[in-house]
Amino acid sequence: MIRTENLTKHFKDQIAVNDLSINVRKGSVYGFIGKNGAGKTTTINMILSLLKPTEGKVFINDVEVDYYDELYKERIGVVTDVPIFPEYMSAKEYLVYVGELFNISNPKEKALEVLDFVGLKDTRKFVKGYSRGMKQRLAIGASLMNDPEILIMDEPTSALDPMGRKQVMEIIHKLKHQKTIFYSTHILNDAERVCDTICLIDQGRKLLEADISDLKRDYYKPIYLIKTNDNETLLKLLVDMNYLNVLEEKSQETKYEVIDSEKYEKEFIKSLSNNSIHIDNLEQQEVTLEDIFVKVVQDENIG
Amino acid sequence: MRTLVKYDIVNIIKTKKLLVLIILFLLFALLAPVTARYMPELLSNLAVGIQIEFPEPTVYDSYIQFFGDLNEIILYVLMFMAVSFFIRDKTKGHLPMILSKPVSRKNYILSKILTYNALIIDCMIIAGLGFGLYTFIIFGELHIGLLSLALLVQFVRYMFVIAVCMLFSSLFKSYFAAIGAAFGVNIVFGILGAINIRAFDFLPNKLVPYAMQVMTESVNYTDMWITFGIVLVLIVLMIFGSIKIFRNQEVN
Repeated sequence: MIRTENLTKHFKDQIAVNDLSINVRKGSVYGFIGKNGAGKTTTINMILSLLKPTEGKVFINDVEVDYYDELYKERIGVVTDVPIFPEYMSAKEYLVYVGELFNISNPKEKALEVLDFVGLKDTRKFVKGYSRGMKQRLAIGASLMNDPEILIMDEPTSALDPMGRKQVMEIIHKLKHQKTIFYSTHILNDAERVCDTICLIDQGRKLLEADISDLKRDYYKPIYLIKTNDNETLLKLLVDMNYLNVLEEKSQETKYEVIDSEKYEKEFIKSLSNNSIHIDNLEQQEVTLEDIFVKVVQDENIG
Repeated sequence: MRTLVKYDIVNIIKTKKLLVLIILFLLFALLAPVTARYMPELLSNLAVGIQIEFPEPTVYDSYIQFFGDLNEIILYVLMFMAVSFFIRDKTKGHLPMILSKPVSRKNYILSKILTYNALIIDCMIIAGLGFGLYTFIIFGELHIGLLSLALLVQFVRYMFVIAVCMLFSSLFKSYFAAIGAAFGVNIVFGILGAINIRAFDFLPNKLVPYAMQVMTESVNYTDMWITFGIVLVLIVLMIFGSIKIFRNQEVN
């Protein structure tokens, strides 16, 4: 649906996006994840022909995007992080305006339908009186006016309070499987909740692109938090165990990651028992996308 | 493009630009004949103890006063408003929203030019009617044909200034840079026009004296129409230039 080949963008001496090749499959929610300044918005702006790639190509539905052609945008809806609206317009007027820019038939009817979908009822209220969350919902509504195949969302929750964020995430959930969603964010929890595929980007380079299910298989290693009667001896033991990896040492507790589950199950308890270590508490921790992100970035920096 | 023009008109109405310009044009249109008729009397009365002889005011004084105003205060206001109107989508952050839709950059520029020129035509028609009526009431005569022609020449002068504003609004991302450059061009043409070289008789700012000379029936029509044609060509070139710059410009 969206594909980039060796996409690169230089701003004077700075490389914002570096040789980026990504593939967003039809109907998927594609999490485009990176820290602030990683090159996410620059990539989106190149997809939308707001910026010219220094090198590389963008394809929409396998057709190469021409910077001077605007017609391919008929199939795309866009939501930015801090949407800006003409202050003198009401929500409905704004949506009708957007609908007319897309040349859709019956924009007024569509505007009411969309406002209902995003949960904005007071259609005559001026946009300048809206909260950030309401503005973001309106922006999502505007992005749906042309009933797009592709929805590009650039950090749609980054400027919102928890309530606004929750509402926006609910809307994205409703859109999942209906649209191909290119979802750029630095909030890993959000990405984890909605995405099928993720791409980690750092300093303009792709670090990883994988389905969440594959990530879980390859990166989601079991992590445990253990508390014993003798933490000092435990630590000495853990360091020698080649089937696990100590992640964090605290005075009372230790966090470790299991590398070889089979060996772990066979030997771990036995080793503790042989060394007279009694377990006070042992709990499995949930591995998050954040853990993976940190690990991938660290590996990349070490590499 | 119809949608762009429609919403540019909505913008002009809702942000009160239309109202401000109509009031401004009408104010000077109505004041011009009054000033021309009564200013000499007023000055004579103010100059106590000094004997000043003013010639009897004629309808031509009213014409000169009106076209003088059109090329001073009104022209400057038009320039400030034009740059603001053209560049606001960039400075206020609306442009990425507009250009992420299937909107042609060429149509975007053309819609702005078209809307702003239409705004000026409206204001000039209202001002022309007001001025004509007042001039006729006060002086008892009016040359409607000459006034229409002079207003047409004046409109082309405005179109040129607007095209300059558009060109620099396309080129720059800052309001002050664009308005500064537009005023710079106006000043340069003003200086060149003051130099007595034949070629400089056809500069765009020469349309100002030509409009006045039309009213005073002292114009060299050949020179005026040549200048008129040259200015129209320059306007088209500047609009093409604006489109070319804007089509290649990156937006973020």
